[in-house]
Amino acid sequence: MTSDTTSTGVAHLSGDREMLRSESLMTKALRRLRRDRLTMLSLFVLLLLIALSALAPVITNALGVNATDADGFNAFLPVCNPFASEMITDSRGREVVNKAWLACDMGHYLGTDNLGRDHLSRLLYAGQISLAIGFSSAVVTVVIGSILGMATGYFGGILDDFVNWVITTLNSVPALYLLIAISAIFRPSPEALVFVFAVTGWTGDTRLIRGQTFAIRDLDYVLAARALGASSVRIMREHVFPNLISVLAVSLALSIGAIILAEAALSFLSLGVQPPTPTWGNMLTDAQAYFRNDAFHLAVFPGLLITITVLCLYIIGDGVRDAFDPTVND
Amino acid sequence: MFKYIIRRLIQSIPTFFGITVLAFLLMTATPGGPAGALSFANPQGGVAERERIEARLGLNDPIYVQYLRWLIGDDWMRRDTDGDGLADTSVLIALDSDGDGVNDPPGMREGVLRGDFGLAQNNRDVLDVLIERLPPTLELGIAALLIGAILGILIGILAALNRGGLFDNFSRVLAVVINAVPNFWLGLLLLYFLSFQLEIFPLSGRCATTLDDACPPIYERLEYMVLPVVILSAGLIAGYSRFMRASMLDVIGQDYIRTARSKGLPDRTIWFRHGMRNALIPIATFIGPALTGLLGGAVITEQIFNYPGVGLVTFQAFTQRDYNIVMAVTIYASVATILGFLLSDILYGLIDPRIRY
Repeated sequence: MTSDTTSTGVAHLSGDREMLRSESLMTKALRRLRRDRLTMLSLFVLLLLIALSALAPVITNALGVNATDADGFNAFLPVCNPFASEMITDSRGREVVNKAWLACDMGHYLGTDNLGRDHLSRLLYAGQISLAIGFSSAVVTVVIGSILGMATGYFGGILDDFVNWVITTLNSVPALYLLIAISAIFRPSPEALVFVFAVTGWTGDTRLIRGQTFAIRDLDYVLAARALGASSVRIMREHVFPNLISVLAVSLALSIGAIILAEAALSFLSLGVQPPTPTWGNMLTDAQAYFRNDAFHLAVFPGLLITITVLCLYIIGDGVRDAFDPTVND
Repeated sequence: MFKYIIRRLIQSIPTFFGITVLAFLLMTATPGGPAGALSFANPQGGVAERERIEARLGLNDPIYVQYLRWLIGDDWMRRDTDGDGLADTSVLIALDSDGDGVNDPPGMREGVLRGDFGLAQNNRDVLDVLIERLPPTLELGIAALLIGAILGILIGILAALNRGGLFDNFSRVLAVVINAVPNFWLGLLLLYFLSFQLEIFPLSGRCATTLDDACPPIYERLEYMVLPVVILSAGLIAGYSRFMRASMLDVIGQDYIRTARSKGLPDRTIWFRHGMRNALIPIATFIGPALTGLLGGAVITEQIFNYPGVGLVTFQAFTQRDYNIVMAVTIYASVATILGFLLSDILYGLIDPRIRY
């Protein structure tokens, strides 16, 4: 009886201690994220796409195909149909090899393109380029945005005015025009394209971070830190930056999506990455011509992969925002 | 209000100045430069001819002189006072720039500030080219804006009314998916299924090809407009519906809605008379950017459907490096953007009585 009382008493005590140790926003957010099924599914799909693209050489080797070998005799093969018969009667009544069967037989599971190159392996290699451009450009814009945004938002003054003027000017030129102008003139390599997206994309992030910093700067605990003699750099690092992490994470996810879309559009207009380097965008450049070659599948998969990737990123961005929202309680 | 507009216009002068610098730098930074394009057209000329063209175009002048010539013209730089067709006074630049011992003709350029954007590669006035391409862009843009705004606002209101319900979730998913689909790919899919397979709509163009290159009135060629307008308005519907839903829910939480409800007004009156009208106010901020998109043309959509508007001519100018068109379009689109934002702010002030400048 006594022991019982003690044990419940201990349980109470430890329970109280649990209550007292407040959970950090980060822990809470991560727990919420783990519980958000849609976000987790999107993350899984995205990681799967990244893994498939990264493993492109391994996968293509295993299938016995590669992304570069042209084969004029087997251009425009359709998607492989494992149930197709080997021979088929064509419109003129002759026995010919069934192309859907041939595609399986040769290991071209998603068919071949206009030059007879394997479509699946080109999609995987294109994924490497498209994803790499999206991720690295977004990281660059977010880094520039957070440094400039924090500096201008915290210090204000002439620097703030000047950066604001540059932002207003750049934002006055429609983004697509600016992108087209720069890439039409410089015909960029994938690396140069990252630079182009960084040049045109940093303004949004800078504005966002500047506004947030501006609001945080005037909060009481920053004043307290300053009163205790903390330097500006320390305040920015210890008190401002941690508050920006969620905003940055959301912005990163949305930026990657937006840049992948922009890269696809530019490459589709044949102003982005130049063939033979494949990206999901430039694989669609001649898609209209493929209609007549009975090769509509060539127009489907690249666009589908872009859509899935961007959709996942947007859902993840939304999920992170909700997870970090302090007004939501669970 | 008037003071505010004047102040905003003055504030946009440095922005405009920055844009002219940006457009000019983009052009001068180009490998080959304008002389490259010109001497390419006349390959027999050789190096000497190319150098003469460069001197005539003033490409050897310091960069600020070139910028000034483009911005405000060179008719004041090299003048002809005695009327013999050759210049005899000059400021900033030499009287005889190509070094052939004879004074050059006086400057003829008036500069972009006076509406002289120069000639396109086909020797037509750039301004004429752009004005000619404006009607196709406007007809697509206005149709897309109307459809996008009306449908978007309706969907937004219905989603707010039905918060958390099936329609609300459906519209949310729809908006996210529309934002994630590349619009050129959506265009390709529609073209394939509706135009190529089912042959409901034409594959490209603004109207059936005619000898005099003219198009019949708009109501006789609506089938050419359907697909481009669908693509253009899809993004608008997604944006407007989300925005309208948020705005509507925001308004519904206000005290005056509770007052209206406590007075016993019917739901319909509350939602539409008290709610919707106020929820529409923030939508006014959308008008500026929408107008800009409308005037600037839709580069990608016009390219897919081969619709001969400002967007298509812009794209062609960029790929052919037709510098004068590129610079003119950049400035034109930027001015449209600046004016669009200004218009948004003014409208906002006019519609919302709480805002005073």
